[in-house]
Amino acid sequence: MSLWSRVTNLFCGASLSIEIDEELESHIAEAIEQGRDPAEVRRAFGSPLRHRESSLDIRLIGWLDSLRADSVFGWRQLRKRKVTSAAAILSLALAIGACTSAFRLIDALLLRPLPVAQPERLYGLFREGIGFDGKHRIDDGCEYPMFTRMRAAVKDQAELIAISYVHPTDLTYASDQEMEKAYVQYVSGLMFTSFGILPAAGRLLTEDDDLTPHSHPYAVVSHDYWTRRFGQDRTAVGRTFRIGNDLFEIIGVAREPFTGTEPGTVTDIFLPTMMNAGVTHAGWAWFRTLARLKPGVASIPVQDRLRAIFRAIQEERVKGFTGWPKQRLDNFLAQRLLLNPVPSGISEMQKDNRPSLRALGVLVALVLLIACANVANLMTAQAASRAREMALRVSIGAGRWRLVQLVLVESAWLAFLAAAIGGLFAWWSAPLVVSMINPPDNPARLLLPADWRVLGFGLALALGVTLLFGLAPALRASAVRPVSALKGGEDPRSRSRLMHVLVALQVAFCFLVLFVSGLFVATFERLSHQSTGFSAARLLTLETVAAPPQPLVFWDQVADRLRTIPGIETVAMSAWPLLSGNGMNGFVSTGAAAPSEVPAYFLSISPGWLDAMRIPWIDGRDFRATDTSPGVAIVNDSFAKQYFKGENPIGKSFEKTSGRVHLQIVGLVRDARYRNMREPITPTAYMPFQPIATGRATFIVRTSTPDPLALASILRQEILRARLGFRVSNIRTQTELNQQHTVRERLLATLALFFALVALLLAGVGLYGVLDYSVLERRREIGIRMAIGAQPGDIARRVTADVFSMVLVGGLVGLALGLASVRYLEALFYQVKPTDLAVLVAPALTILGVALLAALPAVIRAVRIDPVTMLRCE
Amino acid sequence: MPKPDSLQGSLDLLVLKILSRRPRLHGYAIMTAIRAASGEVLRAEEGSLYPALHRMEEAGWIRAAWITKDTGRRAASMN
Repeated sequence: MSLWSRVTNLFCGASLSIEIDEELESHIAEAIEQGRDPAEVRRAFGSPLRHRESSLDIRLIGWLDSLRADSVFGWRQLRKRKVTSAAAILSLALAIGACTSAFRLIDALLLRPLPVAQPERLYGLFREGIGFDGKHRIDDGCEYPMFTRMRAAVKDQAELIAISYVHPTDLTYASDQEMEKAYVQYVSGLMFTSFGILPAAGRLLTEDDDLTPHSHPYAVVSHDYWTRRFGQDRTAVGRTFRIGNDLFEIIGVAREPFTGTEPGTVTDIFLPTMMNAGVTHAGWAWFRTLARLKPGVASIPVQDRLRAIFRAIQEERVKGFTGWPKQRLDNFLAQRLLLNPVPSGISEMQKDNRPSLRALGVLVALVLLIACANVANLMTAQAASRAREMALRVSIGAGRWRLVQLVLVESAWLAFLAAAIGGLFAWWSAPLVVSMINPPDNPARLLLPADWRVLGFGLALALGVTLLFGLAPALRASAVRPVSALKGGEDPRSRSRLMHVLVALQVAFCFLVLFVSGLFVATFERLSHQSTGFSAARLLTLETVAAPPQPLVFWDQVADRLRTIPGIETVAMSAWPLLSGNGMNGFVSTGAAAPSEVPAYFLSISPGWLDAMRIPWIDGRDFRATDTSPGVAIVNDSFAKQYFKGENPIGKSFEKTSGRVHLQIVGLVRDARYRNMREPITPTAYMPFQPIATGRATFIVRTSTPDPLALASILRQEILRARLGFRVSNIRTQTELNQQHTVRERLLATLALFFALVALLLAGVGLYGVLDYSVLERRREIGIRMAIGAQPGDIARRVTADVFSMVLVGGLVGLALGLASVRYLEALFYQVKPTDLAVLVAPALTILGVALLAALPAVIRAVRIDPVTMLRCE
Repeated sequence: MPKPDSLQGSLDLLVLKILSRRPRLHGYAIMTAIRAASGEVLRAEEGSLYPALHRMEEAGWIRAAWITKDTGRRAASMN
């Protein structure tokens, strides 16, 4: 009761004082009534004001009351200077919002532990070594037979769980005509019990579902999918669906919030690993292995144990490899197994975006610092104009801490208002950024909960920011010496010094942000203008499935049928489109030579495909309908350079070492990009089109209409009608496929540009404020100088010299910081060197321009000072 | 802030003792009662009585209610 009443009393302080006064008055009145002398009574009673104050201190919490008084006063101060306060709050809000937004993304993708029991005991199996491309890499794919052996070996120390990569998979609850896509993940049945996940309906998979290959046709759906697809209908349990030829029964729903172990993807359906064809293949790496250590078990002994088994298995496997170059065999054997903690799961999205998110995090932090420096300058300038007020407070007995509190509370008002607006900004912008990360066909679904973590971060940020920009001005205000301040003679330069340091800092950070942004923008520019070697204009790719697999004639029939549709220019087929992420590679040997070190890429294409893609011919001929695979090949320029030393390879032959196939080269074409935009173009050999066992291939359709997607639904229908068993699984434009390789760069470039603009704006405003203030401070001096004959040019130079030297210092510091920091970002750049003159000069010139612009009003103001009025008013 | 005072504790005790015998007294009456009970020896400093009363009230030892005295003035009576 006591504490609560003391808190509530805070808000009725005035009436409380009246009450106490009344009580004291009644005491005195009674004493007088009793016949005592009024003067004697008052003397005996003592000062009623003091008694009232000490009573008040008892009735309410003193420090809280002073805080309340300060915050009311601070609010009034803010309201008094509406424009500056709004500017400060908005600039801070933008920075805090950007920071919170970045934190939400980084937290959701990289930091937040999975919603499973004891995520800190979760480890992931990785293999580290030299990859196919000769670069150091860390892989997380595993093969099932190896997994079984490892699981048995460490079963007393850890539970090993196989969890496949999530794939959008075609499935149907009814006929083939009603195919839909769902994100499917194959998991060990053990996963659910090990993770402590409970069913929301039905039952979950168990260890008993891990026993026999291809005989556990059960499925568990995620709560999210259950809600979206079935509206949480309990009868969904027991329904069946078909993937390919397998019929699965839904046996249960996993409880929220578990949605798989890949942040960035939400799994819809969990199937037992036993239902994946890869279970029996020693060479298929199709899942990740997670290890859950038992309590009290250290990871190192488990890792050593697993390493020993891994090594043994690798040595066994290597015996089966033929036609591998020696170096590659060594690399294969040199791989090392790692057991790393993965409390927040593992996903490609994490791997792809970790460096860019980090870079963005640093950029927004810099913007926040710039905003803080701005507000700190503002507060310092204000503290100057309030020096007399502070001096008065000190002289009537305010303590030093009390003044610090006064100024800090005002800063806190700014920070918390800014944090509130910034929170709204983050709430709106974080999902927007996620949608920008998305490759078009594979929408990332990143859960972005706004919970105590985000709230806590926001509050901590607001507090930190308050101290950052409020502490220096507050200490300064409290250190006021009343005598000199009231006389109006405090050294004005000491304040400007702090402000100048802040300006230098601002400029340094601004330079850094501009510099790094410039590199990101240049990277995106180069990558998006990278020549692909083919024309993507009006090109549609129709990923088509034939179930069961159909012979070539029927594929040709479907292609002929498509050619009859009006608005279609050309139709051709390939195993998959270029730049789709698919690829097949292998080693090549020419003549009797040993296989090459550099792998070549292969793609099977129909006659006319090269023309349809508009890949130019150098020499030779296209495939004919009579060409069969294997037998002939068409190669690209890089292939000829790599394996034939640039001689015309037509008529020569080479051997593809996997499968020992001899191919004769009949055509030579120009380079076209196969895998991605960054790597140099790979040596590529095209082979005659042959439907493959999976029954998948892609029709390449060039339309004559400007928007190729307008024909998508007609094409889809037509393929269904053309022949029984054919079905379109995915339609994408080639442009989409090309752009997915620059999604990350575009995101970085866009956001970096945005932050660069914000930083520039803030730095400009800050500079303007400081100059304006210094002119105000020195107007008397300027007046005198003009009176004794100074020219406007001298005045302008005098006013701006200090600040511009600070800009120069800041710029140099920024440059040093920039050059030091780009080393950490190199992986994100493409064909841009941080030492290029252009990327160095551009930010410097921009900052100089903004500085000049910001200085202009202050200079004009300075030279317009009329010495007569100025000197008279002083 | 209440000043450290060795008499403060005893003042609290005195007030509580008086109120336990004769509840519903107001400040001035309590003071007169202390003086009377001690045979004019103890004179509680008049002003400091009130902070002590307020402290005891916040601590929940005593409760205050407003009464209207004959003179029309209001005063808080303690019990």
